[in-house]
Amino acid sequence: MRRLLFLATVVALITLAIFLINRTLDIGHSGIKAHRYVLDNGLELVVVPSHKTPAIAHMVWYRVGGVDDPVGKSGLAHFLEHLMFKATDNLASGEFSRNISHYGGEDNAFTSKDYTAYYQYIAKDQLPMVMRMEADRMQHLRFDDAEALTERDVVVEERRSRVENHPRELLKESMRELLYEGTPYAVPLIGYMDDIISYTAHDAETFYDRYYTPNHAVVVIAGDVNPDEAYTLARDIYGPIPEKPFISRPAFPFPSSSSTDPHIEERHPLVTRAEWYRFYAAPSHHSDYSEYAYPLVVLSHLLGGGKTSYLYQELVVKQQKAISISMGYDDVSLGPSTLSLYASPAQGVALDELEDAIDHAIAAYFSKPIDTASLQRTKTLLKAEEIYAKDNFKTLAQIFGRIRVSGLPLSYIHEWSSHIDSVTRDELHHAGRFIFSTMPHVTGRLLPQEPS
Amino acid sequence: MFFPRLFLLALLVFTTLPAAAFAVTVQHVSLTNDLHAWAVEEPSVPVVAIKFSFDRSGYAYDPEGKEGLAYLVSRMLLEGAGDLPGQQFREALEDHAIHLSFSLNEDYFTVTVKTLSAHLDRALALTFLALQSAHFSPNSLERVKQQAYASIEHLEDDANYLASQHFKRAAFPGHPYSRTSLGSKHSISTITPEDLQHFVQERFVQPGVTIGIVGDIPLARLASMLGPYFSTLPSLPLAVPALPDVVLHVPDTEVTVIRDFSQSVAMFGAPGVKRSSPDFFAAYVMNYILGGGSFESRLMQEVREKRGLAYTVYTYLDTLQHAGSFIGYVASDPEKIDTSLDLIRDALLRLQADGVTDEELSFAKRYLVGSFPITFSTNTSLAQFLLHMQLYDLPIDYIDRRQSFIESVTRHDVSRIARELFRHSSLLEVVVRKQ
Repeated sequence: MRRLLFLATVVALITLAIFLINRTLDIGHSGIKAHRYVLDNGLELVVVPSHKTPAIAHMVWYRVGGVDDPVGKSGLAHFLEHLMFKATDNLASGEFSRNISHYGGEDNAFTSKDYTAYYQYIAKDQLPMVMRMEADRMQHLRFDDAEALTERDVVVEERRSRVENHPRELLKESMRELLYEGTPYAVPLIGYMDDIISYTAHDAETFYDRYYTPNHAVVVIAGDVNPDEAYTLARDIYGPIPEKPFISRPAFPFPSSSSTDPHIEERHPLVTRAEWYRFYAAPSHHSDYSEYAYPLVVLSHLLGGGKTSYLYQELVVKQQKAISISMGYDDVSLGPSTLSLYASPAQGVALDELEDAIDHAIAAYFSKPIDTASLQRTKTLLKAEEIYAKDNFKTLAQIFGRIRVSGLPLSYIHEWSSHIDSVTRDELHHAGRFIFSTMPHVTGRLLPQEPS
Repeated sequence: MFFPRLFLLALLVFTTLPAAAFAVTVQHVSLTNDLHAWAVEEPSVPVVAIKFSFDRSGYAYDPEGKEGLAYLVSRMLLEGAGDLPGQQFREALEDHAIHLSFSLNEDYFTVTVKTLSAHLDRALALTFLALQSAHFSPNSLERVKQQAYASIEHLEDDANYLASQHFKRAAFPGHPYSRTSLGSKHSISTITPEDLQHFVQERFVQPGVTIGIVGDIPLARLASMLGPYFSTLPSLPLAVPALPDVVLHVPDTEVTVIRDFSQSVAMFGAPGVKRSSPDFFAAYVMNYILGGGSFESRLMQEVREKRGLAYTVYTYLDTLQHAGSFIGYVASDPEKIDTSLDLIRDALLRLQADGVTDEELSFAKRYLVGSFPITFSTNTSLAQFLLHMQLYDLPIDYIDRRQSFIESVTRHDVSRIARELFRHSSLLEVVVRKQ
């Protein structure tokens, strides 16, 4: 059957750069420039011209997400995202998306712990139309009890589809609860079932009134667009919206070092093959210890980025303890990031044995100098990702929006290659020691149910 | 991590391109005396995408008892070739940030190359090294088999996969379209390095190849750059006969798969149209109105928007070379899945009885025409479409003409095709549900 696509995969591992107001930077070889403006009401506009296709991506990123969910209402930011497609004072329920489709466009939205983003991909001449509709729902959303109840049921089904039907997702929820205990990052983005069924239209409206304001928003336009014209339009359409008090997030302390080694084991009747996970708390460019962020991008790729990586070669090819192993890390995050490990044991290998082998392999890696050829290869790959990203105006909008709501300057993109290039073997060692010897972590094991 | 409000659905590989606004000129380029490619020069980003397919080499063409062969080949081609044993082959790709991958559907084995234009020659050299001199070492093969066994076990714990596996079996009993790409643990276990070698020699031949190229390369240079590589493919005739045509089978009763998932998953289907059918566009428009058009579709409105019974519900036309099918998907609470299916059946009956409105028709046409250019936002996606056009015998100026094909669909056409497709008033229904 046809696969369902996740927007998230588009954004993948790519990170980009800062921009000072009204300055313009060249990015890489493709000559793509980003232009940044700030309106009087605090709304930030980023325009990225790319004339390959006569279309634009228009996105509104709100600096509000799952971390801002009220206690007992986990997932509320995501629920509001659903309701944003309902009626406003000027549009009927569903009319927003219908107008987009009418012009052959595509629209949708996504929520993360740190932000909520709405997008439209559409022919370039429809930019004023989509701006007017986004400006409208920034101010005039209507909250209807009956409609909220129906949408609540949709979110219940969404949670079943994404989480409840997949034992590994339930395990990962438990792992995050433990790793980030005491912070909002411990709570699942989509919300707990008990919380979801308690949402009311009023809950969503209160949240909307606080956060959906021009000064919480970053508008990104990428594609076949003239920056000055886009700015004039944005000033006319978004400019008159009154700002409200900016709600700063409480700072969540970066997790302190820990010597404990907690494990969570889940047995489930829907599991045939065991799986092994470990999450380490890790810094991002925006957190404490941000000096480790670029080294961790390189290191996670060297250790677990595909079949040439050290851990794959060691655990899968040489030792044959695992049939797959990979490591992931995202350097762009407003809050703490996560360095994650996944492994699937070879036939007949117990998870204890697999885990010991992984821990030994990681320790062994740092006991000798890092191979120069593999380091060079990894840097080449990471730098090329930036150029490949420019092939797609949708990806450009995603990247620029994401860095701005994650506390990074536009220059992040511009400087990506040189930062990656300048990572030294010493820095890789330091970053590795920092993560693997001091950072809190949680190990998760997914197992079939014991035979009864 | 993102939670999109809706899974974005690929309506079909080829959604649509508005000819007027989207100036793409597809060129027929000869690579050798016998081989040609369809190509688009796209100089704005220094990236080249090349896609090429081998006919009668998808997983439905695996030899009986060796199901999973094409899949294993697709994995093993990256496990060492020529003078680059084992991981050295992948490292050589990474040294130049070359993306090389192999994929399968029922009919075709497809090669995808994405490279910075500066490294195009290196990319081609490595690609053809893999296609012609892969090592297929027994150790690597054993590892890849173990990975395939694990994939099968993981997939068979997934409600969506179970539904689609049982759907194929029920829809095409006795026909190779009933298979899944991985085969079974047993069939995989019987495959030897010699089988892989034989597959490569027999399937990767000039008469079966179709090529699409998009990127930052002057078309005048394509023959000199690509010709020498493609001409090394043998000119042997296609080794296996084409599959027979087959029509989706609709049994009298639901196919039920019992498993304790917290959400039930259903797939439903009926015979559809082939891509070559004169009714293809009528069916395409009909499908958009019924279940292909995200939030505006009738099924999305009835099942999700009005009643909150599902997060995801959609339909699509599955156009294989030898079968055209209408297929749909819905997932709901186990207590509500039958209500969702009742609503879907009602919607089909209503479509059959009353057809569509003028408003629905014009809305669908506007969307299907207007959304076309946005589909091709990357070189790779356009290269895939160039392949599609050739594999389904569409004209080289199809991108310009497609709009008129869509505009010409009438309400009468849509009603007629709806009556015809759903004339038996019954669907193949496969439901993964609790006891």
